[in-house]
Amino acid sequence: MALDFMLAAAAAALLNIGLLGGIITTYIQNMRLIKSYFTIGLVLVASLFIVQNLVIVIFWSKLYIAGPSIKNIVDAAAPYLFSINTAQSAGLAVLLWITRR
Amino acid sequence: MPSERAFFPSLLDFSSIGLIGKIILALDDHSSSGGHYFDPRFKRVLWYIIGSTKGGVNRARILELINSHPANPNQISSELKLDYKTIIHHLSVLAENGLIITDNKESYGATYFLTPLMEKNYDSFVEILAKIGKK
Repeated sequence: MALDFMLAAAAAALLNIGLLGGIITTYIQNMRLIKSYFTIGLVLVASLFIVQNLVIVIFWSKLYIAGPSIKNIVDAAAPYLFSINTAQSAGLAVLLWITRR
Repeated sequence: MPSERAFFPSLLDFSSIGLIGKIILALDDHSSSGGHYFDPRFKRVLWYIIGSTKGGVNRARILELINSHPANPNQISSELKLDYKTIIHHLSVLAENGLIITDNKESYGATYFLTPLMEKNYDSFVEILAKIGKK
């Protein structure tokens, strides 16, 4: 069960990267036309969110190959990370919708 | 002279604000230009609609055109050389966000105008407009 949460959390992180890819594309297009702290800031924020989700995916892959030595910790943390990533997916989906509208 | 603080006078108790509140108010004071006050919250909405959405620059061009003379979607489409359906979509978004208004939405040739709020805060828009296309 914990493994399911772990894989789902990683899948949500990958989904987040995809959503952020869509968002940052628009942000970069706008930044090329409007040079301001606002447009540059948006690109920076979206970039950092991509970094965050990449780190999450790497982190979980490391845990996945770590073996049974830290199984209890992984089992306890997996549902929470799944919740965090899924909430972020929902938020980013709304942001993408607003951005592309 | 209208003040940005006059919008919600009953909601703000300036005597009891903390350090962060004072900083925000100080920043707000800097957002005025040329003796004209405008609402910084409205400016943020403008920035978001123009600077962070697909087609934001075209929306800015539409606002600029409507400010110069109220126009219907056909006129806007031909003057800006943009697809009619694209114009209709942008007009819908701008109207939903309270930036423009029309006399008759159902009519084919409905004329669009800036809302009083947009007119009042037009200086904010000019500031954003000045940054479009700058390298």
